[in-house]
Amino acid sequence: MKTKHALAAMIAALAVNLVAQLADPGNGGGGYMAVAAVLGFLVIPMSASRYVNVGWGLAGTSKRHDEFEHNVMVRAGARAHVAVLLLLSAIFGWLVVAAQVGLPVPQSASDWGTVGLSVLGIGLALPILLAERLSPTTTMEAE
Amino acid sequence: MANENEPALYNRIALFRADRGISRRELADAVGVNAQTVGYLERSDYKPSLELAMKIAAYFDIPVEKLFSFKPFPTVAETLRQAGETA
Repeated sequence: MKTKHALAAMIAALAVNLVAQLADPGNGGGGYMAVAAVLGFLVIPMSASRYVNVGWGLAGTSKRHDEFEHNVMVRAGARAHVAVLLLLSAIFGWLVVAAQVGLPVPQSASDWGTVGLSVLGIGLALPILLAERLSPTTTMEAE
Repeated sequence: MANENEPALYNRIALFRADRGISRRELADAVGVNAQTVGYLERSDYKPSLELAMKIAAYFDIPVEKLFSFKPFPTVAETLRQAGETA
């Protein structure tokens, strides 16, 4: 399985769990532990990608990227930033509507933890997935 | 990652690399990029920065315009035919 497919599958799992959690807080989704497990497994495809920013700028920990990788990461990061802002807007929009019409909203620390971890996982994996998708496909023949 | 709205940038990196008998990895190490990036450059999937273009030209010890052009370079067969006509 390619890195981008694994990342896409995990982002989909986190998104499904997030929607289920918001639709039925307390009972929906796989819950806190399932999200934590997906986040744990997320390390595998992320570590296989050359676009992961190890250390996020901490001295001596950042991987050195060449100009192609840097350009791809900047473009992917900008797109992911917009996507995460839209996701957060959608979540809070739903919460406002749900509270107004009397639908259940997350109440417990576990509910909020599940929502928060899902968004965190999507926010971590999405820039890397988009960077992988922006890279030209390399064929065996071309190499 | 090539932008379709921008003019194409043609290059002869693969030709010069083959002529010098060096691998993508050797060229990549010499100019400080990933070997995959050299592949993207050769296939015109990526346009290099001026700095990288100058580094590659300097590595081959040729002017940068011999390596990169907005117009397609003549093929080796065309170049040989033209050389034969002028001889």
